[in-house]
Amino acid sequence: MSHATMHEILRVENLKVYFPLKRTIEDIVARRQRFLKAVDNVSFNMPEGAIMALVGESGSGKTTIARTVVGLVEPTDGHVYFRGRDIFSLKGEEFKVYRRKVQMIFQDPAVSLNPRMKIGDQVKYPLDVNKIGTREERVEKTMKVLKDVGLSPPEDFYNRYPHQLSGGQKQRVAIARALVLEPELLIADEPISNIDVSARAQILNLLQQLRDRLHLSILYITHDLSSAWAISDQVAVMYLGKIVEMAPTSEIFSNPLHPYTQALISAVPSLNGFPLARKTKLRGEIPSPVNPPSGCRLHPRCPFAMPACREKEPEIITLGRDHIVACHLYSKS
Amino acid sequence: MTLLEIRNLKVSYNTRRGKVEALSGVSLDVEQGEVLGVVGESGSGKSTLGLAIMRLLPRYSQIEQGKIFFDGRDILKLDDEALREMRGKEISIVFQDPYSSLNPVRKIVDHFIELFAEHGYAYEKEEIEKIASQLLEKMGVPPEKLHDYPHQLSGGQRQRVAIALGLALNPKLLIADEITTALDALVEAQIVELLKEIKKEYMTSIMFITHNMGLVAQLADRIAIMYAGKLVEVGKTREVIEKPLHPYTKALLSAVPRIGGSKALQPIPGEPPDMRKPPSGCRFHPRCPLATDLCVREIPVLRNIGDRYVACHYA
Repeated sequence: MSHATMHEILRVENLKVYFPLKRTIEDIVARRQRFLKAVDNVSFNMPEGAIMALVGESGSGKTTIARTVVGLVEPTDGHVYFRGRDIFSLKGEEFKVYRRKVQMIFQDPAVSLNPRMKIGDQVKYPLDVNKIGTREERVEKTMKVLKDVGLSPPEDFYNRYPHQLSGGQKQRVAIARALVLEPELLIADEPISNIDVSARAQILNLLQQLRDRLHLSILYITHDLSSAWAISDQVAVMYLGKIVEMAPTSEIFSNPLHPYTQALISAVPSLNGFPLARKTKLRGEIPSPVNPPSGCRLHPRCPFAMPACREKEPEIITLGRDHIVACHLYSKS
Repeated sequence: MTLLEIRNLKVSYNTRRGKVEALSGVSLDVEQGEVLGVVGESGSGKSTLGLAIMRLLPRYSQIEQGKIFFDGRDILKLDDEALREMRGKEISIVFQDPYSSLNPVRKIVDHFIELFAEHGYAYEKEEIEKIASQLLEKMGVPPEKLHDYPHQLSGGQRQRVAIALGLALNPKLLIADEITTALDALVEAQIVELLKEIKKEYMTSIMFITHNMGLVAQLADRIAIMYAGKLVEVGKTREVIEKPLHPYTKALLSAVPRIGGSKALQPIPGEPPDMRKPPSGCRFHPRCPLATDLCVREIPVLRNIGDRYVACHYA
């Protein structure tokens, strides 16, 4: 584990993000406010230079974590530490500096780019806003970043508009725009799920190169396990607002412990037709996070559910060196 | 027995920036009872193919050339009345987004009532409810959902309802156009299982259109790979995956990370072609590691190698 000796860049501690729901007549009569618990007591940390994958289905809370880490959403409870400092205690200029150091890219580059602005101008825009350097220096920096993400020759791409690019190229522009402020942490929220298969490997390779060359740390959010397997060092699996299992990538794929992780891995369609893990089938579909099941949130769907699973929420257990799982199957009691 | 025969099909769209050929001479068969996987990226023409078979192409498009025989009849010559008869009863199509294929202000059962009425079945409401609830149960949807509106169902359930509607009149061919793309991974796997069962139980032929090679590997008897409006390789699923002959098929297979396989991803170089001015000769040549002058000059024909069809000068 080469990263264990490195510095920690991000630590998320007991993070809770609850969104208030619109009150119905019943709620008003009962004088209550119900919440959607998008993230419910999540903790993890990321060493500098790591690629950490946050894996889960829609509704698992992975995007809410990302939005909280960049400071777009305020936590209900818990802390986010960046290089040891609580980001929600940062004020004014300090918070601005933080926002420069943490950048985010999104699923659909066609939506996140401005269709009426030249590629070069939108990549340069963050430099303009932050008044960094002279105009010439900003243009020069923009050219360099365009080249870094593989849009070469950069002079050629600078004056083009988004509609003149392919999906993969647009995502490169979005990455360039995120990199121009020289961030230390990049949050990539499903960056390949809306682009063509042939461009996906290009983007995944690019993310890895950026990590190696710029020593960037990447929080990679995805529902696609194969891509997490290919580029990440560490995987955290989320289900209905909670991390159910977390381990180094090779460990979690060779020895998945949580029934949910097993189900996800065995559902990945393999090219030879054989499942990649012991076939674990869950009943039904992911329920609404508004009213999550009691005890272990997976219990109504889990083939191994025991009476304890309905009553008691499983604690997080550490097995081996850094493999954690929240499942009663592995409880000592 | 051959159920569907597509011969030299050319389809173009009129866009503001001129005419774009979406399908450039596609010939393909679907056999009775088989699952044919049609694999391609966006712009390959795979969805146009499905729409052309259903005669559902938009107004700004035209079929330039070609024939589509279904059960011996040329679909392209059918009048509106005959087409209405055919759709749903002979061939059905299910789309990617079940939200847009179901009517949000009508209950699930009303969709079935309309379908049967449209095809001139004089069933009582109770009879239709009985048929529909049996069908839903087979598709894995609780029959009481029949009296719910689409928004009260989960994404997976909506797609199961769309499939049930597609199968209600027992068509000979079901076209599934990216039907799992909008679904979560576990639900996707369930829908693929469902299609396997449908194939076994109803003996329906299925044309499974997708960009996901892994899904095709689970399901299809044969695969047809498309690139830039043309077929580049057609063959038995296992054989194509184990020994791809066309460079694009090879590239596509090694561009996708495989859990447990090599972590060194090999991306396909370059960008997908601009279909307003497709490359000369072999349309894959600007991205192909094997390309020569010949590939720039001459269009490779889809030729027979064993029981495989490949369009490559060097296969």
